[in-house]
Amino acid sequence: MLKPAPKTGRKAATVTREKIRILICDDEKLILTIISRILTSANYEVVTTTSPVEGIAAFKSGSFAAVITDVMMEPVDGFIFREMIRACNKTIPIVFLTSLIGGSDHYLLNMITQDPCSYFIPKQSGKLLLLNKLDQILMAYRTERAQNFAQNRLREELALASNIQRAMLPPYVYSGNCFEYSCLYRPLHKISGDLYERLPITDSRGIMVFGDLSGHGIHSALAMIAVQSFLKSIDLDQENLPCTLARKLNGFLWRQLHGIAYMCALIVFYDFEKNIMRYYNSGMGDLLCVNSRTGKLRDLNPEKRGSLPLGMMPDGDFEQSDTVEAVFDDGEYFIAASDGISDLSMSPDGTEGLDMALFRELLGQAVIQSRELGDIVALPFQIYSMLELAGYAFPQDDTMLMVMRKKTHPRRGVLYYGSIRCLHEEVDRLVQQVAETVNTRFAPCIELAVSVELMLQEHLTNILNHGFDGRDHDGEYIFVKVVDAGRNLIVTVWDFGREWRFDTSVMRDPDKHLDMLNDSGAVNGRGVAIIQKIASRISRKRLAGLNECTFVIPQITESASK
Amino acid sequence: MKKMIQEYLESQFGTDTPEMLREFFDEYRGNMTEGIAALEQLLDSGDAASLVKKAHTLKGLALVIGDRDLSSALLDFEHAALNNTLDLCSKLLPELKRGLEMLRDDGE
Repeated sequence: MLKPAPKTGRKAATVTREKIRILICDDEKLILTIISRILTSANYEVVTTTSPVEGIAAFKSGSFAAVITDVMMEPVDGFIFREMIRACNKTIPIVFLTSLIGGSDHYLLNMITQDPCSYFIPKQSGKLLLLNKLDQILMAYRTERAQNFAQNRLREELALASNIQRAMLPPYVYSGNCFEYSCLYRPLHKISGDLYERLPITDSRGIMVFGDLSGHGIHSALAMIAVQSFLKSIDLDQENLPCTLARKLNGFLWRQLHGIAYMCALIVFYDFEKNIMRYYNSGMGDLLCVNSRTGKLRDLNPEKRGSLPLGMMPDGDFEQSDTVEAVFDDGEYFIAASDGISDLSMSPDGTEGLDMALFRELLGQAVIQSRELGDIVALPFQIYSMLELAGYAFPQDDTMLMVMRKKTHPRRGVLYYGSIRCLHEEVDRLVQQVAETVNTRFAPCIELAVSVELMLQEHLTNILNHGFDGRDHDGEYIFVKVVDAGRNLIVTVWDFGREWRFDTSVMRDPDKHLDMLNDSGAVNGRGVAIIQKIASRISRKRLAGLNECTFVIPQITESASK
Repeated sequence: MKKMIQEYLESQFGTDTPEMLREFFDEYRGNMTEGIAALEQLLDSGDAASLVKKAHTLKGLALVIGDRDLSSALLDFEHAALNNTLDLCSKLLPELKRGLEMLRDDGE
């Protein structure tokens, strides 16, 4: 029978502490009585039971700091009782009170110690040893719980800091009327000391700031947020030149973060109407310029103009004469990278650093390929992925890699090209917009619009509901491109969720799969089958954390395409 | 009360609650009387597995109350039953009974 242990009748302990509750299970009542007397005399609160079945019910209904149990009991022994407890709580200390003597009880000892949070105390221990041992066990348990709690809190706070940091940054991909960019941003440990900020003046003109705060981790991430906030507060006017902004940033860093952080920076004034790029480099890797036809790099700064990193001295020259100015062709791409790229290594200890000649070669290849594909969303991820494949798989620092280019002419057949935030209402809006565009273009062929709508809705909802495995994704973006390619519509979706694996067996006969789901009354699992029924071909890539899924949707009739 | 047990219980709970210690002892003696009778019956039926379990339980009881004589005798009995040497168990049974007699005689 389950009952609270009787009171000892002794005077209350002079040192009061919150009572610790212990559950004791032993089918021998006298043992229960004696052990509970010992524990209550030491100010423990005790619940006793002679039955493991009642014991588990008590355990579920109360809050205990430890369980003390006999081994040999009926109808279930102490080990089955432990399994029942472990189903509810993996770590609570379970103390086996045993009468093991000598070396013949190895089996029982093995059984007890198989569980890392199980202990044993011999029945003949006596009061002092029992209380001391129990104190030690509870102290170890409390310490471990406190450590786990602190670690979990730190993890949660880092995740929150990471989200805040992401929210401070502009979208990773931008596609305006005059130019577009895509940026890979990868902290070494959840949060980063790298930053980028776009300060637009007009559609075609503005300033891009790339920064790399000294150090990495929390220290530089906090400094990054301060700098990013400062940048967002700046009012730009026509007079703002990269060197003026460098002076302002230097002043801010010196006054506010002196002794805490300094920053390597690349401050770029762009004018995609007049094809002018003007930049000031303060200790960062130079802006790279790649010809998208030849893949060749052009050195924009042969005189190596620039200055020391910002925030190292109270006053700097930051002269206009140190600014690099370049006129560019429409087909040239610009690439800015933090030293996380040059610090990429072939070994975990960072000893085999990046071969810059190889990097330049891969860069050229990737840019040519990107020009042929017609978009740059995946380009920085493609470059990073190529470096990983070449063996540079061990980052040593926060990494940022941005590619920018001018938008030269309207792309043929592009029906939709843009990003949305990972929110259901934005998915609904995008899907509706795409469906309307397709319907207008292919009217009266409404079936095609419905197919695209259904496929996009299923895929994007899948990403939101299942792609992030519980990770907060409000700050993430999904980019979508829909192209009329004559006989087919090609839909490409880029996202940062988990890697998608389409089951090819479903692909062979999606109708059969859907019938099976219908017959079994299944609620889930239709999405992928529906997508595979609509798309005649699906291809997917995983590029440095970015998913690229391409769906080919056949048009219903050839005449439907205008 | 058997002196060995009394000394042990006083070392655990002090000397100011003699009634409680007496209750413990009386309950122990009752349990042990029933338990050893049960062992005898199990020995007659030749149920070695049940003998092991029962002897183990009684041994735990004796250890908790500080009865070193009976806990030692019960350990020997448990091992004999574990090895399925019931003849040896029969030979050890009188020792258990002597231990039980000491509970009845000692201190009364």
